Amino acid sequence: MSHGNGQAHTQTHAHVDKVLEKGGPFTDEYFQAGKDVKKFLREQCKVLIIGAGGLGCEIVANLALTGFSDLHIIDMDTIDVSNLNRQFLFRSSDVGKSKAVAAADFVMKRIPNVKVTAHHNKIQDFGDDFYMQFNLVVCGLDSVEARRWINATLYNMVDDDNPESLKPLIDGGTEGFKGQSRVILPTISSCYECSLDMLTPPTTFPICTIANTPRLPEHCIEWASVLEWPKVFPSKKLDNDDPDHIEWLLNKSLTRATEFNIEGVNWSLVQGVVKNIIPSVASTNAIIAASCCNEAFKIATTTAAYLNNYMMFIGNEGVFTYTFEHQKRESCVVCGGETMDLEVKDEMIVEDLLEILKQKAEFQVRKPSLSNDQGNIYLQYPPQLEEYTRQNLSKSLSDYKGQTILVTDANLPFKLSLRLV
Amino acid sequence: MDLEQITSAEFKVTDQRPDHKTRRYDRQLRISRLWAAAGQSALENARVLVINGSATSSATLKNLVLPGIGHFTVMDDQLVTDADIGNNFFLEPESVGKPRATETVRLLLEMNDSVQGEGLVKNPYHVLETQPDFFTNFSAVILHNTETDLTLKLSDLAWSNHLPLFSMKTSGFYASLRVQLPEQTIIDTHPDAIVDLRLNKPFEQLKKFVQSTDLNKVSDNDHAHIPYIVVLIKQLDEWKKSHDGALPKNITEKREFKKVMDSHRRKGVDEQNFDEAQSQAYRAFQSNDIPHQVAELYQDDSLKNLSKDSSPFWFLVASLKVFSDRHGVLPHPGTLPDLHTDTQTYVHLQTIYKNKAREDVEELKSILIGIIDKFSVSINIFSDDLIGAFAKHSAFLKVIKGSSIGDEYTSPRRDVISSGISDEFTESAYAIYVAFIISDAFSEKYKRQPGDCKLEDFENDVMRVNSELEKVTKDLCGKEPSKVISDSLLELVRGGGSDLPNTAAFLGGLASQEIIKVITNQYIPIDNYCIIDLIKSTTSVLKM
Ligand SMILES: [Zn+2]
Repeated sequence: MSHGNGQAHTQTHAHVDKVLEKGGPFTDEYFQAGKDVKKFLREQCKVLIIGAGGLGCEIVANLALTGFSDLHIIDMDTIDVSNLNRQFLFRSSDVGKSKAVAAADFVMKRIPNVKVTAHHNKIQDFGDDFYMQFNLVVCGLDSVEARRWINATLYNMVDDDNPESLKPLIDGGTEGFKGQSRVILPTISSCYECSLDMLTPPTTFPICTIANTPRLPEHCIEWASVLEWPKVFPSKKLDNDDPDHIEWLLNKSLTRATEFNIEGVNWSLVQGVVKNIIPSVASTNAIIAASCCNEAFKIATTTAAYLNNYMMFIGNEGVFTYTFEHQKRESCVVCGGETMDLEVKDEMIVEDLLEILKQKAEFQVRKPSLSNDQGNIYLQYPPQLEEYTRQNLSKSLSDYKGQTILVTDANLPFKLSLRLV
Repeated sequence: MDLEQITSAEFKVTDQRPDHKTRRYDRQLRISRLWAAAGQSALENARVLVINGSATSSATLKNLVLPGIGHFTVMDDQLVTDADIGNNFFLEPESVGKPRATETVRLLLEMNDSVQGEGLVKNPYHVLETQPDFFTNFSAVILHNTETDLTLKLSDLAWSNHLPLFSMKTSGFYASLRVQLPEQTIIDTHPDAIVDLRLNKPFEQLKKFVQSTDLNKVSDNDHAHIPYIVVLIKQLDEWKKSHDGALPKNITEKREFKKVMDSHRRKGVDEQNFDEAQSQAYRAFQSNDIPHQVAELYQDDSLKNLSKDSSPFWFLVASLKVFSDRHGVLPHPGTLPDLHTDTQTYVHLQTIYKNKAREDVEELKSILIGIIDKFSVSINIFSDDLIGAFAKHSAFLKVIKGSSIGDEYTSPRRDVISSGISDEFTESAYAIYVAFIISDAFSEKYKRQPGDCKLEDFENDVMRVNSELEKVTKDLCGKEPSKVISDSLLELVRGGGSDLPNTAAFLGGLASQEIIKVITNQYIPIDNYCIIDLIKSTTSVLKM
C-alpha cells in the first residue's frame, strides 16, 4: 500500500472520531454526534494561540492533531538556544528566528490540511476586530502582564446582544513541576484578574539591604544590576540577553561578594536573578498544554463537559491535582465593576498610594496614573505632564478622602476605581 | 575616557561563561531547583525501552529526548497506518506503510543531536521467547496499551530483575499509569525548604552566640539588627524556665509567648527583626525531635536484616539511627534562611550553622565506618558528597516499597474494586480502575479493545462488558453495579482503546515526569497507580 501527499487519508481521524461519532454518559444532551460536529471542528472553528514558547509549541501541535484546521499563533519573541530543551518545534538552526513563524511552519510541514497563521507581534498590536474573528483563545504565556491584558480585552469585547462576542479563554501556566489550567468565560466565570491574589509575589529585596547589608549572593547581584550599572553606564540600558552585560554584572557582584564574605555568586545565578528565570521542563508543559487543548476540544465539540473552571497540578511529590470552581472576586477590577474602598492612614501621601497600588497582590499596577473628577492627580506619561503633576506626590491623602480616584496604567486596558476611607 | 572605552575595558571575556550544553539545558538545571547536574548525568546515562510506537509512547519519549536522555529503543512490528499519522506528531504522511518503530524514532531524534535511539521492528512476544535477557538491559521499561498477558510477562521479568516498569493505558478521555518499582530509596526529595534553626535544642556554638548578645545593652541600631533567631531562643529559654521546661502548648500560651517577646521591642525604632520573630515564632513551638517518617525508617526490615549486600542507603540509615540515638536530633542541614541583620552577623551565624553541619557529617561518617567495618563493606562506595547530601536531607528521606503487577492480577484488591462498584464513592477513580480491569478481561477474550469496532457493533460490545462487570461484582462483592461504574465503563468503551492526541500528551507528560524522577532518583514518584479522568480534569493516585 503506498501513500503520499495529496492522497486521501480517510482514516486519519479514526482516534478522535471515536468520541465524535457517539456521545457518552457524560455528554451534554445537545451534542449532535457525527457529520456536523466534525465539520465545525475541522472546517469552521478558528482558534487563536497566544505564546509560542514552552506551552505554545505543545498547544499548536496538539490542536492541529485534534483536528482544528484554522489556527493563528502570536509571539513577539525570537528563538534562543536555551529554548531548545523544551520548545520542541525549534531546532538549533532556528536560533534567532521568530518563534511564531517557526512553530507555524513546522506544524504545517508535519500535519497536512492545517493552516497556521503566524503573527510575530505583541498582543497589544491588535484590536477588538482582530480578536473578534476567533471562536476560542488558548493562552500559554509566562507573562502576567500579557494575560491581564488579553483577559481584560476579551472581557470588554462581550456584547450581551451578540453571543458570538463571548470568547472562551483557556489559560495555562507552569513553573518547574507545578502548573495550572483554567477555563475563563468572560463575564460568566471568574476571570484572570479575579485570581491575581493567588500569584506568589515576585521576590524583591529592600534597597537598604542591597546597598548596606548584603547577606545573600542575590543581594550582591541586585547591587550590581540595580545600583552599579546605572551609575557606570548612565545612558545604556542593561540588556539581560547580552552575555557581555551578564559578564560585567558577574564580575561586579563577585567583587562585592568577596568583600562581604558571601559565597555562591556564579553565571547561572546572575542570569537567573536579572532575568527572573522560571525553571521549566518539557513534561510539565506537556501536561498543562494537553489539559488546555483538551478543554478547547470539549468546548468546540461539546463531546464532554468542560472544566469548571480551574485545575491545579503539582508534580514534585507524587502527582496531585486539585480541580475546583474558582469564584469571582467582588473587588475584581475587570469583572467586579464596583468602586473599591481602600483604607489609608492620615499621615500617608500620594506617593504612598502609588506604592500600595504597585505592591498589593490584588492591584499590581506597575505604572499607576491617578485622576479624580477635578482632573489629573498624577500622570506617568507624557514627560511634561509627569513633571507638572509630580508636585502632587507629596500631598496628603487626607485631602482626597471620600473621593473616587481613577487609577489607570497604559499597559492595562481597564480603570480601577477607588474610594479612600 | 568615553563611555565606549569604559565599556570595552570592563567587558573582558573570561571562562565563566556556560558552554553550549549548559545553555541548552539551562532552564532545567537552574539553580539546582529542578534536577541539577547529578540528575542530568543520570538521565544521560539512562537507556529506556518502549513497547509500541503509539501516540502516547511518542509523547512520553518526546519529554525524555528533549531533556537529553541517553538512549531509547522503540519495539513495534506494526506498519504505520492513516490512523497513526492522525494522532502521532512523530509520524508524517510519508511514514504510512513504513515500520512504526523506525519512523517514530527517526522523527523523535530530530529534536536532540545528543540523544541516541533505535527502532526495533520486532514482535515483543517473539523476543520474549527467543532472548528474554534483552529486556533486562534497560534502566526502565515502558508499555502502552499492551495486551494483558504481555504486560504480565514483562512486568514479572522486570520485577525479578529489579527494573522499574511503567504501564500506560488510554481509551478516549480516560488514562492510567501503573508504576512498578523495585524498592526506591530517595535522598534528594526536593522539599520546598530545608530549615532547621535548632531553636528548641541549640547546640553549644549557637548557645554561645545567643549568650554573647545582650538585648538590653546594645544601641537602637544594633538592637534592630539582632537576628530573630537570637530573639526567639532567648525568649524560649525564659519561657521554659517558668514552665518546667515545656514549650508553649496551646493557642493561649502561644499568644502569651508572642506578647512577652514583643515587649522587648525598642520604642520608636523600626524593628523588622521583631516582625520576623513574630512571624517565625511557630518554629519555636516545634520540638526538634526525630520526625515521624524517619523514626519509621528505623523500624524497617531492611535495617534489621542489614548485610554486606544491603544498599548504601540502608547503611547510611543505620548510621543515622546511631547518630540520632546519641544526640536526640538529626544532623544539621547547614542552611540558614535570609533574615534581617547586618552582613557580618549574618555571615557569622551562617558559619556557625555550616560548621555544625560539617561536624555532624564527620561524626556520621565515623559512625558509618564503624558499621560497614563489621560487614567488610568498603567506604569507597560512600563519597563525601553522598554522605553530605544524606545528612542534609535526613529529615526528608523517602522509601517506596513497590508492589508487582502480577500480584495485582492473581490476588485482586477487593477493597479497591468494591469501592469502584459501590454507590458510596462518587469519586470516579475507583470506578475507572474497575472499568480498566473489565476492559482487560474483554480484550483477553476477544483479542481487541471493547468499543474498537464498527459503530453498529458498539451496542454489542457494551452488552458484553456489562456481563463481565456483573460477573466481577457478583464474584467479588455480591453486589449490583452502581451507576458510577456503569457510566465509567460505558465512557471507557466509547473511547474504544483510542489514543486521543490530548490524552496521549497528558499521559505522556505525566509518565515522562515519573520516569525522570525514578531515573534521577530525585523527587517522589507516584506510589503506584494514577488514574486520569480528562472529562472531569482530575487525577487520582491509588495504591495497589
Ligand atoms: Zn474578574
